[in-house]
Amino acid sequence: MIDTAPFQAAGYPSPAEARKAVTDATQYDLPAGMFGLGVGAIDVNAPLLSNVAKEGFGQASFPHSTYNTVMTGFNKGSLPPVHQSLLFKDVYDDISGNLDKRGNPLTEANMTHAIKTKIPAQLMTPQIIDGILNSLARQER
Amino acid sequence: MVDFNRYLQGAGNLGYSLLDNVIGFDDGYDTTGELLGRYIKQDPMGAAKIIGGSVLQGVADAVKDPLGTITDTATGIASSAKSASGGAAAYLPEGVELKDATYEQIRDANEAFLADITNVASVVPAIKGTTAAARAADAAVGADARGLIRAVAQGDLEGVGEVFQRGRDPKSLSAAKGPTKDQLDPYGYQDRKMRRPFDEVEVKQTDLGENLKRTPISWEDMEGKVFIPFYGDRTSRGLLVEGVTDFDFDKPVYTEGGVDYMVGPAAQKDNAIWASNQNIITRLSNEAKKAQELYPDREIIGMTGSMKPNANDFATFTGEAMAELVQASKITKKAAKEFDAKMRAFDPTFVGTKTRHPIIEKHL
Repeated sequence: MIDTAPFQAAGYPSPAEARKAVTDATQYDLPAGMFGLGVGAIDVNAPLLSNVAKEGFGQASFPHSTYNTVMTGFNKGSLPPVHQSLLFKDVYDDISGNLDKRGNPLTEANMTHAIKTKIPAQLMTPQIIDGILNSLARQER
Repeated sequence: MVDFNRYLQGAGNLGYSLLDNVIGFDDGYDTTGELLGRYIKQDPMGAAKIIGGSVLQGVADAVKDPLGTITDTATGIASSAKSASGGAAAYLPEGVELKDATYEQIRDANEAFLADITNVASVVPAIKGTTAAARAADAAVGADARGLIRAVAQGDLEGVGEVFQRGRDPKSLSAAKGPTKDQLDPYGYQDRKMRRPFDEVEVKQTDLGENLKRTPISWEDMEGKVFIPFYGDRTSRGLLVEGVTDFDFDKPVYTEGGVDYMVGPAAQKDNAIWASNQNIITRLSNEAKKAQELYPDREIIGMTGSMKPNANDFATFTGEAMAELVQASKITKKAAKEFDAKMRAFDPTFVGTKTRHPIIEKHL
């Protein structure tokens, strides 16, 4: 409600300033849907952790104040971020085949929604890696 | 509480369904909008008058009482907010989970969700097709209806307001003086126009040194691995935010990430790589296990993806920062009273804008 014209005019603070205050500076100007800054190998055999003692879960020793459940694994590092269309190629191609009958461009929101709801597992083939590297090379130029 | 903006933004994320109503994609499925579109083609001028009239009546109401109109709409939405709060998934057929849903089921769920949260199916006319008759209808409805459609599609209440204020005069919005919203806020950190440029907002913060450094790796090394997406907010981790520009916080805000959650204390102590609500983490875990069964000799990787800036709002400490900024703001008693009344209409426990209380952080 603060982010409405009447209350902004009445002097309520800027939501953008609150959001920027807690934003990682490397992501200030990053478009939505960019992947790669955090890369972790998932330990599929490890139990999930919970902020509170719970049957079937381990207990987190450093709980997150917002989120109650934790997945474990091993941090692999950080990649130069690339757009999700380059990464989740299979789901992009799949949806494009379904919807793009008249050549209409699909919306980015539609793609994000599909990826978020389907959580596709994407094998990183040499073709996908080549596409990513070519894109990064074009950005550098 | 019901936040109209939030639901409009939800609609924005359902862009395809919305545009399918507005434009009418040829995907073999008739949305409510597309059915209206057929009617427009049969009787374009008659339809244009009816549709234009209903849209412009809404415009007129909003000009008289823009806040009341929005609030009334939000109140109307409240009855369906309970079911809408579960997202489009709540509209899937019984027994069908998102992960198993067909494309058609997801699309149907989206449209039902969309209709519930915005009532857009009954408001947005389908101005589709390229026939002369359709073009005539389009012209008859006028620029205001098209502007309204665009603004709703973009979740842009300011844009809606501009259409309202213009009435039927086809004034160019670019004629407005001063920097535009996009110039002030090129990355889309808020819906309304910022008062000062985003890049001039200075964040005063101290790095507590809790995180390990990010280790650069290369995409070439990722070949043969299997990725699943970790969509997340873009919050920082391990920083103490002490103020913004010319205002120092009474109570510095501790940030918890975000991407750097993977290099923070939880990662160092528990090998934690991602945190979320239990249902999300359980789904991610199940998908990772399935991927491992499919690719038994491959490493399964979770990779973070940055969501829009307003995704930060899910983190409690964003509310803490907002609560600090409220203390710095010159808000009149009248505006605070009005704001508090509207908040309490949705949540009677709201403590009030002018009250310094930890609970306010949760509300904001």
